[in-house]
Amino acid sequence: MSYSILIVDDSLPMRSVLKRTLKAAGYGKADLLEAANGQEALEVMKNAWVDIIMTDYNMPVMNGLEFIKAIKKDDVAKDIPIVVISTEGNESKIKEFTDCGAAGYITKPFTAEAIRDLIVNILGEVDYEEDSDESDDDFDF
Amino acid sequence: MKKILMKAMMTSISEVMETMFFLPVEFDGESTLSGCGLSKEKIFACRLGFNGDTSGSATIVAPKTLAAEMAENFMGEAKKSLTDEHFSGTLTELCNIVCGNALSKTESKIPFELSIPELINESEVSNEDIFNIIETTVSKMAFSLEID
Repeated sequence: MSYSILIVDDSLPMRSVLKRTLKAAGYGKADLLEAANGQEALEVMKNAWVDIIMTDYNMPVMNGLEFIKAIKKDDVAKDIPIVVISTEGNESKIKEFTDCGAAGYITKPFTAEAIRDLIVNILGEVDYEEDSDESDDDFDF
Repeated sequence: MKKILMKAMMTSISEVMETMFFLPVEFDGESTLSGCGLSKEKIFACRLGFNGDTSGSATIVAPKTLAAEMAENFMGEAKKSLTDEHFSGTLTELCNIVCGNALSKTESKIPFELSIPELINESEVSNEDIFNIIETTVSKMAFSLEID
């Protein structure tokens, strides 16, 4: 099964790195959608189904926390799991995200293995042989 | 507080440059940009503000040659396929990760909030400003921490 994964980050290089990491993590056949902030992500979601969202916190226009709150108010989208990827790893910030309904949290820098473990934990096991375009186990961020 | 923050920032720069950009660094004291030769090159400069127990901003300056190498290493794509947007975006991401990591490891009664990292014009970086100079295998870069 191939998933649809929405990457939300204002940094063009970071979106590119996340896509590469997801491929290395076994999600090479996933449909990888992109948005530069929460508002743009909501627009993307009007036209495409998403299985999981990976969002940055510190973004212009609509930050990660505002985005999670908007999703949780939406009857159709509220059950889509959201993973926050951010540089800010203090406990109070992580609690703020999970209290709002985030399914997981990863601190930058991250590893492909950490991404894979988190997504598998949320969505279930991926058929790694079938779903991997890259097999670079050393690819860490 | 500035000393504590500066130490945390320097540790974070060293870790992030090596693990994410594959460029080990060495710190080379303080200087102006012209004093270390950076003013002669095309540079990118990025600034990020923060608020918490202490408020201030961090600035990172890197020549285009270094930003290009960092982008290539970070994104795993050849420099020739990348643009100035990728180079500058890589520098703002470095600034974001360095500050986020350093501040989250610094004890603060009020959790630090970070602004969006912004590119600044060369004209906003004074030749009189003192920076901490960082040596990489490609070229020098510069870092400064301002406390309000």
